[in-house]
Amino acid sequence: MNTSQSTLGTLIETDVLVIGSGASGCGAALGAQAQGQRVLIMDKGKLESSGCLGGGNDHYMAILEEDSEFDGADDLIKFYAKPLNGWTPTMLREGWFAHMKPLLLMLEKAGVQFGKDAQNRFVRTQGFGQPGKWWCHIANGMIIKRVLGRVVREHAIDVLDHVMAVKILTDGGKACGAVGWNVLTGEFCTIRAKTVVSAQGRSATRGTNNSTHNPFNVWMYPYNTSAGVVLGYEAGAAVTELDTYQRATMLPKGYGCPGMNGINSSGAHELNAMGERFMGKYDRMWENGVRNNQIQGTFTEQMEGSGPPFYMDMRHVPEEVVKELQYILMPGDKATFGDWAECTGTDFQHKMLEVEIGELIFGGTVAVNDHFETSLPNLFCGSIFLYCSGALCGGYEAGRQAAMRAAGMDSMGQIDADSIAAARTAAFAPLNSKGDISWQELEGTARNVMNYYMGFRRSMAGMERALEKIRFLSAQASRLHAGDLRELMRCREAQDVLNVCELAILATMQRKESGRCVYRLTDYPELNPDMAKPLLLRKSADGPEYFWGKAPLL
Amino acid sequence: MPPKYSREITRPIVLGESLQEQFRTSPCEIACPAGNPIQKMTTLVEQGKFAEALRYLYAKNPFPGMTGRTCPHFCQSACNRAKKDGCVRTRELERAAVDFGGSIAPFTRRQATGKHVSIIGGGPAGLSSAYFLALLGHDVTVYEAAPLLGGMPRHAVPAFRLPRDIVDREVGRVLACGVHARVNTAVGRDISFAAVREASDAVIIATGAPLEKTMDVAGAEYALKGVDILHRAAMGERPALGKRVVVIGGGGTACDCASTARRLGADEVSIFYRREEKDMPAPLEDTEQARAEGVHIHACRVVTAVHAEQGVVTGLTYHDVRDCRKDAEGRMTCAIVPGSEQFYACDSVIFAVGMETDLAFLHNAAPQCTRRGWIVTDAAQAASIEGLFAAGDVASGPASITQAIGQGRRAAFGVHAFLTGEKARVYVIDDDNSIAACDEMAADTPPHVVEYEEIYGVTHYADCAPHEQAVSYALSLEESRAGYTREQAMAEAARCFHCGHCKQCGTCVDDCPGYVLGMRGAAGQERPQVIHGEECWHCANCRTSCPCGAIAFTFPLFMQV
Repeated sequence: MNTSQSTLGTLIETDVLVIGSGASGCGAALGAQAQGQRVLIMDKGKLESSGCLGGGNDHYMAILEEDSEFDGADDLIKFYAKPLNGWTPTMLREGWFAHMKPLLLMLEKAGVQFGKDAQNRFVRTQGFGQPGKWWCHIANGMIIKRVLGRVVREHAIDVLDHVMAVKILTDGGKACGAVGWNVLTGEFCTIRAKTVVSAQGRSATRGTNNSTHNPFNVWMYPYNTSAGVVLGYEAGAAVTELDTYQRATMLPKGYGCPGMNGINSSGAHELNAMGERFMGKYDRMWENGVRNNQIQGTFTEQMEGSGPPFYMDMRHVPEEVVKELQYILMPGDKATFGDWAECTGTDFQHKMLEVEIGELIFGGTVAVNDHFETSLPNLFCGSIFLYCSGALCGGYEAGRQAAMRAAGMDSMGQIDADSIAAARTAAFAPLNSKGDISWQELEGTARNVMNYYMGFRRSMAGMERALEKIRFLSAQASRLHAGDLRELMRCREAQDVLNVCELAILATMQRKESGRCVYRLTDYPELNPDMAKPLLLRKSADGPEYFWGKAPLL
Repeated sequence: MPPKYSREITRPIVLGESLQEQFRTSPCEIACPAGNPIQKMTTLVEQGKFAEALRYLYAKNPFPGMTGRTCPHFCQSACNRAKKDGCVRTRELERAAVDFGGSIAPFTRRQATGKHVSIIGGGPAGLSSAYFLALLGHDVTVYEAAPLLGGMPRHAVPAFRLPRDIVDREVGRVLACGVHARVNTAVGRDISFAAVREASDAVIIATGAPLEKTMDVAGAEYALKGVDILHRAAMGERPALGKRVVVIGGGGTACDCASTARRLGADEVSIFYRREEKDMPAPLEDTEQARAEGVHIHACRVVTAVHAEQGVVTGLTYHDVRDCRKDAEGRMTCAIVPGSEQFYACDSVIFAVGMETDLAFLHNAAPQCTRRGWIVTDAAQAASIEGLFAAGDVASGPASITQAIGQGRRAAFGVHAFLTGEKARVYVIDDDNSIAACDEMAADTPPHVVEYEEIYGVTHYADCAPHEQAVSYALSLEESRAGYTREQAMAEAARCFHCGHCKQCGTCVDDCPGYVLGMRGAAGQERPQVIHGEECWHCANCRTSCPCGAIAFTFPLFMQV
């Protein structure tokens, strides 16, 4: 990268800029670097610990063409290519399947310990209602992000740690860089690039609470506030899945962590307050079914008074399975699990594990075509598929595509000094303001609104009230005050939360049906067959434009 | 939810194995029988603060110059760094603290209690308990049968391993605390045990294991005794051993005898040991030195007869053995290889096959003993008779100087609690340089011992082999090991992982994705602290980045219900 100083701060030039250094960002950086382009990866966190993967990971989804059935690209396509999510067979084959095994082997070579059988094949188990055994077990999952970070640093990729992106730059309707500021030093940076990859993840949890009412004690990375959606939308790219990527998981009561995949697939039974195993009513694969069904089912039981409490019962599960789950997989997924289990006397083999429905994610992503390019030319998006494997592989493909585009470009777009100056003024505004509200007050109030109106049961009238109130809160953002750079970062995150919540409400109000996501809309209790397609939102002067299906834009 | 740091100590600890602030620790510190503050020492040595390191050592151990040379270094055997690129040479660092620490002002004695304590035996255990009891304000008299204080380190450790001025200086420090010594006074011979008890508020027996074992073989009476030979050599005698000498045994005493025999003029010196060489209890450096000095080590051999003509040894008969193992009662049994009998011509045979206690001086007043004749004690070294304590080899069986020191210290506090009723679980060196009770620092549970696999941040350490001190194999009576230079010591100390003790490096702060942690504290003393615990995701990146394995977690009540 080339670095220089100007009145606007630090100016950096590279070929491919990757925003976000989590799993998809690392994948994107590696995919772009493999094409021989200069790559710069930026994140408000640090490469070794940033993103959801920074909290650990106990499974890697991989279709390896080893088993006699359900282990090929077509099985992946059959399971995931659904009209609703807009994932095409090409995207799944080229963007996920093609990279699954090479990246699995790359991780293994770098030091991630995968379970192997006597024939040196990866040990895999089944989950999430999938037809085949697609989940490789990881023994040292708590260091997987460090391993991946080391791989990235060893690949001559420029890393800009601690820099929070606040705007994607465009020139003539095409992406050409981003601006951000260093959350430790306040240094303002402008990055010019031929192409840009958005890789800021899909899951943001700070819009609602779980029973602990601590927005950081959650399933997914709480420092992701859907900035990827917000930055993409503000730059003019169409965003999607705001209405359908509203997810929750069962959590060990009181402890925010991933891990329900491992618990469900171990053969655990979910029991309600009466001690009844009830999931069969909601999914033919019982606890091993679709995650939304587990949440829906548990919520229904709760509404009917059959709980709380809810429990996962693993006492009947073979000892070696439970032992691996409690002492290897769960701590690998969240490295403090063992400490929490010891503190609370949690013992999968001998006691039932009390669980709760966790916080509801309001996330989404930037819509892409088969080449992982968004509706904003030269802006690609890597945070498309699910899980570590989907993030890493999809990111890799987005980076690869972005680099191929960059390789064919003679020059990068021009940057606009006025626009950058305005972004800088806006970024530091709370620091210089005489405002009277804190980020906690603003963001906490947004959570109150979302918890109240945007839960697992909703109505159009309720969503209208929610929209009104979220917009009222957004109007108060000019009153935000930050005492230091850290608070300034949180102020920005609070505004991201408000922005993504507003988009989520707007998108959900368009989807006049129930049954495709974890919530039910009372006014429209049935599935609408015409709505089996993704909804895209694009910014216009009058608010968002809505598009059903990807075709109109991509 | 947020991390909790296990911290390094910030003032010398005299007693206290479980500290609230230090709930994780290293295998080396747990392994050290003297309780040396090893990691604090390496921290200070790395910074070149040898005097401060020595002060911390003196709070636990009055004899770091001795243990820094002679200890079988249990610490090094336990060191986590051995799993990477070689253990930290902790023993050499302890010696370096003494070599470069200069003269340290002694700790201040507490106000006199008016209590009188007698200690029988002036070796490491007895003198250690005397040192701490005197500092605690008690009037202490040590009874020693020999003309000089110091016990085994003075009488049985060769001067080429432990120069006598080191012994003199460290024994002198104990006496400087106000300890009275009655040398040439054997209790039971020159004064009765009953009289000693009568004159004391408490008595500590620290008479060691002075009797040498022999072997049940024909001609055993012609063999010399190892500790006796070492003692005579240490006192300046030059016992005539002849040219061919065989030492029987595999411990440190056997190696000392072999190396001493070479210095006394023997040309061909052999060690016969019944088990395999890897099983020899002698420190590896000692067997390496012996071999470098031309000593032959023959493993899996037992002596079955010593031969003499007109009282002069002519040789011995030995057999090869295999399958040596301890039986259910702890006795070693070996299978003799049939037809392996050999004669070996030599001029002297030295038995270095173990020591036993001698409690004859107690007459009928002996407390409860084990079957092997060791005095049974509790954790405070109290024997079965009120007011009677025991420490060192007499209580634990033949062990190490380091263990004797640790037991001596514990006995001192056991006696102190008995005499004064002050029973704090932690004692420190206070700002006024004297011992102060500090029970509020104590934890109810022992610290977690950090294993290598728990140090996720071990990747922060570049490979670095241990530093080697200069060693002379010139068969001189001068000290053979030169010890580290200052620079070597500082570099070796930097190899310490600081297992379980935060070394304030701040990698956790750098790696926290939530910016939850910060470096706080006075200039130069900044250490990582939880600043925004309510925003912690408990992802444990602090733990996986930590090069010390010093982090545990606490969970707020809302996460426990």
